[in-house]
Amino acid sequence: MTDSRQQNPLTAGLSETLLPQPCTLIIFGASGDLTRRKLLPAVYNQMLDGILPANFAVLGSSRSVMDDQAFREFAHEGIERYSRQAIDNHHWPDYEHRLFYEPGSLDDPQCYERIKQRLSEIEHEFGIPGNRIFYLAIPPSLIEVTVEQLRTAGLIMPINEPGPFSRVIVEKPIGHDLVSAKKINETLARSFNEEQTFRIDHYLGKETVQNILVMRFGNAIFEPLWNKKYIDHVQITVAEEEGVGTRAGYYDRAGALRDMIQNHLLQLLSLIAMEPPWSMDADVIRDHRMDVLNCLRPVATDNIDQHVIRAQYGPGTSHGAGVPGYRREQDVDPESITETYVAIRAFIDNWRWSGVPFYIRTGKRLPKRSSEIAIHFKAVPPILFNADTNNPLEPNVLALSIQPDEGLSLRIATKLPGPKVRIYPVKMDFRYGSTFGNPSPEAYERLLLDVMAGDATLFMRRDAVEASWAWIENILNAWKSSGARWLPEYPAGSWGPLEADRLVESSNHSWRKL
Amino acid sequence: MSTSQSKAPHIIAHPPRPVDVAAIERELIQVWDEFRDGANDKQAIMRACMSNLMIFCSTEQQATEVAAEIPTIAQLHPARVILLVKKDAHKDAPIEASVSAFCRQLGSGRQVCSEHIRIEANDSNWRHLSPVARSLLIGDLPTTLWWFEHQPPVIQGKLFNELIKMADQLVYDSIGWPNPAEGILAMTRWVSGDGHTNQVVYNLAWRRMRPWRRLIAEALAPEVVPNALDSINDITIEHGPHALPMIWLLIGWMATRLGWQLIKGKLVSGSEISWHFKSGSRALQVCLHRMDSGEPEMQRLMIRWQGDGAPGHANFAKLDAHRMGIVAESSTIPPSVISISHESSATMVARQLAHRERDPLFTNTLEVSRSMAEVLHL
Repeated sequence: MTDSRQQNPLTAGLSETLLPQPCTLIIFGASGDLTRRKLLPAVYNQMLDGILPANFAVLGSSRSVMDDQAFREFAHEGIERYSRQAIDNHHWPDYEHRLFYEPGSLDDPQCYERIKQRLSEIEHEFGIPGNRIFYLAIPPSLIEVTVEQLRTAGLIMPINEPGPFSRVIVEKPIGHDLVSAKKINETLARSFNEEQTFRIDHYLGKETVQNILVMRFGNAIFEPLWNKKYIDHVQITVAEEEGVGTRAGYYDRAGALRDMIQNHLLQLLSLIAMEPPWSMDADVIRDHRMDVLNCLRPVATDNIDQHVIRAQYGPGTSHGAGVPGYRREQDVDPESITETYVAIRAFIDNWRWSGVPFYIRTGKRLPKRSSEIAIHFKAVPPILFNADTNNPLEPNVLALSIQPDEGLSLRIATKLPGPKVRIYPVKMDFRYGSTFGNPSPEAYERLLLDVMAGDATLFMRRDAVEASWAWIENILNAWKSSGARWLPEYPAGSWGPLEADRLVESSNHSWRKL
Repeated sequence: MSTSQSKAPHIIAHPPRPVDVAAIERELIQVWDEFRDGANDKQAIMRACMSNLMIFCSTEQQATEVAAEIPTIAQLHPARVILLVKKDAHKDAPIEASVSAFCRQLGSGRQVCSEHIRIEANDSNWRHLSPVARSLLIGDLPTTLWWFEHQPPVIQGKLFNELIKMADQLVYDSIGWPNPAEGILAMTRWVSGDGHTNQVVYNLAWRRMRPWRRLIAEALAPEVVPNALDSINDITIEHGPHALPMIWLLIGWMATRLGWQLIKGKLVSGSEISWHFKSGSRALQVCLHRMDSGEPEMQRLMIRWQGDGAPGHANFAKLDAHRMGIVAESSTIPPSVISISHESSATMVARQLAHRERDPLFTNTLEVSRSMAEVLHL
């Protein structure tokens, strides 16, 4: 695999951040929602921002029968609706000129032969030196056949041979349990080495998430407090306002634990709790994140209800209108016991975090869309301003908001103006959108750029995926053996079941009001 | 999911209030108090300040030009902007000052505001500009000096030396300098001399060349066109009036990165300059041709090379206001196009305010540019 940054003297110092290399992005599942809403708009925004390589093209493929022109119209429609930047007629012709499409079935060898031929033509036309990124925007069950066909057709550069690079991007979920995750990883490993494999978790592409490392290790005031001595507990919330929508078929087989906790929330947890890395090298960062996963205390299965709460949304309200309960949603089994809400009290058994609860919660049909990480510091001693046990001071909270408004806030106690000493909690707020005038790039823009540049820092490594599954599987097995026929319900539009409140109240804590 | 397309934020510029120099801070507090009293619960006013930005102008006209751009800066990088104007006025007039604020309306009803202070001095009292500016800088924040004058900053002598001492960064623009060679020599002397301590030095002309540098680097990358960069033997550039300092930097950059050694240079005519370089045993020539009219920018760049195989050439051109690329008809490599977004000076400055690292590539380029100026014996 070559790295043109090392060979090209003119690229030194050219960009403050990343230097994407000339390549073709081949998208499997190109007629799907992800391509329309995220991938094609991301590439379009990169082009408008002038960061897309000059020698670049997109070749889409899926079963849907389309020609290049229809694919370009599909892209236009997606960008018009979902792009961060509006369609610009000055630039559109240059963008659509780079889009190509080849229909076919993922298990049909002829399809790959046609793709090979198209790629050859495209690379010649755009002066692309054979670098290829395969984006597998397809269900996990199709990954194996796709990768095998790619290899058989000779579309992938052999591992560790000099020449153009081949990279692969796979979307979550990587499997539905540890065994299937390992199988997918082994399939990928037969054709791509780990440096060529990019397991995407779009949460890691968000500005606030990347800012976690900067905030922790770029400021002297936080890291000395970042341990069991000063931190009382941590809350990580990913709340969704929407129900299962069009994903019911998938979701009813997966549930919130697999869909959200196994990937997004455990990745956030590992970033918040990791030890200081000694370099920004991708593998160093990922090693340190992995250490956190290794230290996660397995949830005790004999009293799992004291550590993990699962529930389903019932009928209720959303956006001011009545909505049905989960079991009444289209394509959901009326007897389903799939959880749409999970709350977990987790512990990280290492020197830094021993005894500090990490409360994790996620759910659908909650009152609003909101994701944040809140660090709750310990209260000041019960003397001086905190001497009144009936009115204790509210402890400091550092909250990192991930969506919808990326930013951070710090709650501090301050004196109200006046002759009496009256203390009031105020929030110091930093919002990306307010402070920096330009809107942040979408997570997919950043992550696609990283793949073009060969930087895997913000992607999940194989061992981390498997460690996450191993931890999750413990809970899944306990649930399975419980033989439960029903789950607690929470009204749609509420903050979850009472059981989740009790989970944190048992440790004298309460969920943050978001 | 609905569209997330961004809309241009609404900037509210509050009218300037004339104020005595000694009362500037007091007046600003008054301004904030009035904002706070006038806002309801849904219109929280946030005073935002990420930097101090001193802007120096030497004419009223420049001051008017740059004042129109300050809202752009307030939008991208909220800063305390201190506009320093050294104007021609009768000698006994005192220093004049005014204060105002720019507020950006956010969707939530909140407003993010930043401050603008204008100080005007004349021939007799301009020496007081720098002490006044010093008293207005907000501590603990980085300070940038934007030299808006169309002359190399060092030409202002003492005033520049006093202002730059307060700054962490100097931003200037060599486009339009009346004598580019003299300006380059003066600036490189200052950068390598005692006057310059640890400030970041940034030339907007260097920033404007970035899309060109990127396109050249990508189009002639060894993996795309093997050996092209190692065997360049001829470069011809056509540019508009006043763009010479920018082109100068581009050649300096290529020479720095590709290891070219300067042999000689010649002012062929009023509109043409040539330099001869060598790289190992290979000689190469660079010719610059100024067009009689057009925008102050590079219009066309032809690079020829003689590799192991067939000779090649690439014709880089600005295609229109929004795009540049490689023209297929006169190139031996595939055509390609990249988007360029026109950025105003204020936008470039606002973006640069957040960058506080030195750019060694620019410094190295400046050194080669100095040699290129010296061999012309102007």
